[in-house]
Amino acid sequence: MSDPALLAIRGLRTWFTTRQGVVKAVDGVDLDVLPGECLGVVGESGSGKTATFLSVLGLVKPPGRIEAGQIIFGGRDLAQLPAAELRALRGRDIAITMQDALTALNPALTVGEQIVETIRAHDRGVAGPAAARARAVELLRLVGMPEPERRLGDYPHQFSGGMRQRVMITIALSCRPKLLIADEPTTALDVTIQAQVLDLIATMRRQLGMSVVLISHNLGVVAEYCDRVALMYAGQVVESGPTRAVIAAPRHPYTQGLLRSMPLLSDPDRPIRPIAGQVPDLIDLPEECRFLPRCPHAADACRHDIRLLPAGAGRWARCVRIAA
Amino acid sequence: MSVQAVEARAPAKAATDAVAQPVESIFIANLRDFRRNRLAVASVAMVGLFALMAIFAPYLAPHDPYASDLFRRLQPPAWLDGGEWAYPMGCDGLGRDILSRAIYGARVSMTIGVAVMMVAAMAGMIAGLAAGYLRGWTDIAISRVVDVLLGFPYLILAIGLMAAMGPGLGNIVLALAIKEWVLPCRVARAETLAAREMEYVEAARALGASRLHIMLREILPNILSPLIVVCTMRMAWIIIMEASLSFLGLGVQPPVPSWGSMVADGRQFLIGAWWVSTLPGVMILLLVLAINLASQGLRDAFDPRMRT
Amino acid sequence: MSPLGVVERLLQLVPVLLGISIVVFFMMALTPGDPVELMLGDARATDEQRQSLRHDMGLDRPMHERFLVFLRNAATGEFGMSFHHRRPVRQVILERLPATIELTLAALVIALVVGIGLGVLAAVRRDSWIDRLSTVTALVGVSMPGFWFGILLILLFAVTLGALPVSGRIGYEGEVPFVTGLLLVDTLVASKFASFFDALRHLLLPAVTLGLAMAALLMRVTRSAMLEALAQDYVTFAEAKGISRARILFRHALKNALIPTVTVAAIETGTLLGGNMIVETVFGWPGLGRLVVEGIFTRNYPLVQAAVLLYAVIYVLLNLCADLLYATLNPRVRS
Repeated sequence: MSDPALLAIRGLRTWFTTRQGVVKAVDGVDLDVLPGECLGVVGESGSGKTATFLSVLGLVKPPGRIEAGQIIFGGRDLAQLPAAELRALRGRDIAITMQDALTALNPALTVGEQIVETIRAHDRGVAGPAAARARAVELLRLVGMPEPERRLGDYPHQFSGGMRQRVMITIALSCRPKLLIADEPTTALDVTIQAQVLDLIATMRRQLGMSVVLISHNLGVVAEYCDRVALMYAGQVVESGPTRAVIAAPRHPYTQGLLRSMPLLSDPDRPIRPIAGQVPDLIDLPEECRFLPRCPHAADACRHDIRLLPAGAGRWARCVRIAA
Repeated sequence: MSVQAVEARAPAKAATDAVAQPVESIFIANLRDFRRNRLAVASVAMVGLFALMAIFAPYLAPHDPYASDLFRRLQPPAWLDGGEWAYPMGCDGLGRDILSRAIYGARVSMTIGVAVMMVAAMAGMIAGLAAGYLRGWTDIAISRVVDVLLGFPYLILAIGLMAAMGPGLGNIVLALAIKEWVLPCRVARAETLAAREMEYVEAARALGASRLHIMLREILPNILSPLIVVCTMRMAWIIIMEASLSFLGLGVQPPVPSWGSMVADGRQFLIGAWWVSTLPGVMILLLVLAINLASQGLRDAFDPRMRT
Repeated sequence: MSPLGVVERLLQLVPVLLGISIVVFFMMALTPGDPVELMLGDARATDEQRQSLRHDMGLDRPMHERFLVFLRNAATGEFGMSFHHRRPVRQVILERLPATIELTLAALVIALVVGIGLGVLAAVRRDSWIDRLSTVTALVGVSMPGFWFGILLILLFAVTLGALPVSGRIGYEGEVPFVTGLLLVDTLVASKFASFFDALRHLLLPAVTLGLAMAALLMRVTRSAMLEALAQDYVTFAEAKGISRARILFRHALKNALIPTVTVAAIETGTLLGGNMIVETVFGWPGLGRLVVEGIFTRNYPLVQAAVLLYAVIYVLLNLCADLLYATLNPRVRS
């Protein structure tokens, strides 16, 4: 992993203590986000993608807790940062858009207020209400909202799904963050609007020179928009590397299985084979490869603690077969 | 489509049986949930205690609740100076034993509470079932009456009716039940509206069951548990209303002891003999609190939708 | 809600108000006892005088005609003579109304401040001692009959501590010139600050008594509504924006939590009307509630009839307010 990372996550463990047991939603995640890059984070639901990045923002709620690990951003460990400093950083340096703008935007407040309050929270005193409003209008125009002045006074339910997503992106980008975490930005949208929103995020990344983490369960989307990709499985990163290289020659059996389970535009006749078995229960996991029960290459060596190993230029994989 | 529909309805009897089975076991699971809630069980025991007190009042009361002894006027409770254990809660302005009167007072509260609840539950259930299942004019007519009754503040309507009808146990029940049935009616109506679209009802309809049969045998058993929950919750309110009417002198007439009128009678002795007025109020508080806790437990166990 | 929606909602009230009038009319028309005898009281009268009185009161006409007359009179606020006071019912009621309004408003303020305040606090400090304490207090609050609570307050603050007056509205009433009828306002208008504090001292216990049950209920509603709001995605997103905790609590969460709370509050204000009778009786508060209770014992039927109708109409209007408030607070209903 190269050093000048914008965000470096090391050994992150975020656990949820429930009545049934400890759910290890994030269990030893190592990840780097480089300046200006777009990193795709891919995994099934429950693989720990969202929990990882909520941990970065310090937004994991009880019974969830960051048990161990470092989150280095701008030379500081966010996991140790006092709440007030973390709050000052949220929205200003690191911003997030959530899966569904309909539930993420407050139904009782106008979108104007929701944009302006973000600007004013981080520009304390500098931007008066009028200046913040002007900036909100400018930002809305930037994301392609027609008649931005008029729509500032509207409530979220008065917007279409795509426009709501744009409002949420506007809020996230309102303070020109260094890092945008886009959590499944397209799942709640119609197919036709998905590409528009993804293109918008890509454009804004170039304009603002920020890094983007694109969380998705869709490897196809990530292949199109991301420089690098990290695959997560059962709370761990199983493989990471440049998107093209990973897709061309996946090293981890899970990545291989995932690719085989997807239809390819280049070869529509290729048979689709889903990965056999199920995602393991995240309670009481044994200290062995998480993918072991579903892996076609399962062997005795997989029963020991499996680490992320270097697997070629800028690539890592969590599999014993790499070392061999 | 239609062929499929007919086919789907053919094993209707089997379907209703399959539905009936889990209902029973859910009920038992609910009951287990409820028994695990210790506070709720204790509250039910408390309500039971009050019921026993009401039923066996003549055996439990140490003295005649009507016998006044002028030498014992305003005698303090046993734990105060001048009190004695023969009259644990002291005596009222006419020298009557407060404990004995409080025990007899449970009769009034429990009788009226249960009677109003039963009348209201029955009337509301029938009206709600009819409105929800028959729809049309029945629904409109019942809903209009409900709207009008909802236009009156509870106590105002009860007081107006008591003024018009005059005192008496039956009149109190009537004055309270006349508005009380509205809530069970609304619950029953809403539940019936939902239930009439269920498969087991459609199955019964397809089998040619009569409307009365469907309402009483198919829908009623399935809307009972929210109704019971609502009605037990309301009993606490009814008891407070009865006490309020009695406090205003519009309830049970003297010398019959009622907690509300005992509090009212004691007001004139607040300076010097606080127990005459306050102790009967403790009884109201305990009973109402117990009913509230018990019904909360019932609600949590039987109607997860209403959980707070 | 659009102006048209408000008009539509008002029109829906017509059948309800008509139904209420029917109930109130027959409630009193079917009451045993001859109104003429009651009107006359102890005064002696010849049969002829009785007949002419009967005719004047319209009692010799058929029931449906009497109802129509009642409706017309009710619409104009004309309810005949109060038997007991020998003055128009309207006049007697209007005299007593300000006292009741003042008491109800004070109770409402107490209930809103205490109920919503404690509810928010309990939700924010969930499972802390303050949450448990206020939950238990709320439970006891709704389980306590108002009149008994009032008596406990009198015992503690008036009898034992001697800190507050037992009954009445003010010590030296005659000195306050009539402006609104609300003593707290009138004393301030007249700059009589000693009288203001005297009125406040008189108002405190009755208002607390009247507001208790509503405060308890509001606390429960606010708490669960706040907990629900705080668990929503928009709160997480607001936190991710880096805005202050206070803003998240009071602007994002509370604005949503207030929607059910205010609706319940508007409806419950109607319940305060019923509680008036109890509290005014306990504290000797010279308002409409006590007037009605006295009216029942003196069989002053025109007065009781008018008051019951008035209470019902106010109650219906409050329910309308609840609907309108709900629509105003909830943007999703508004448009």
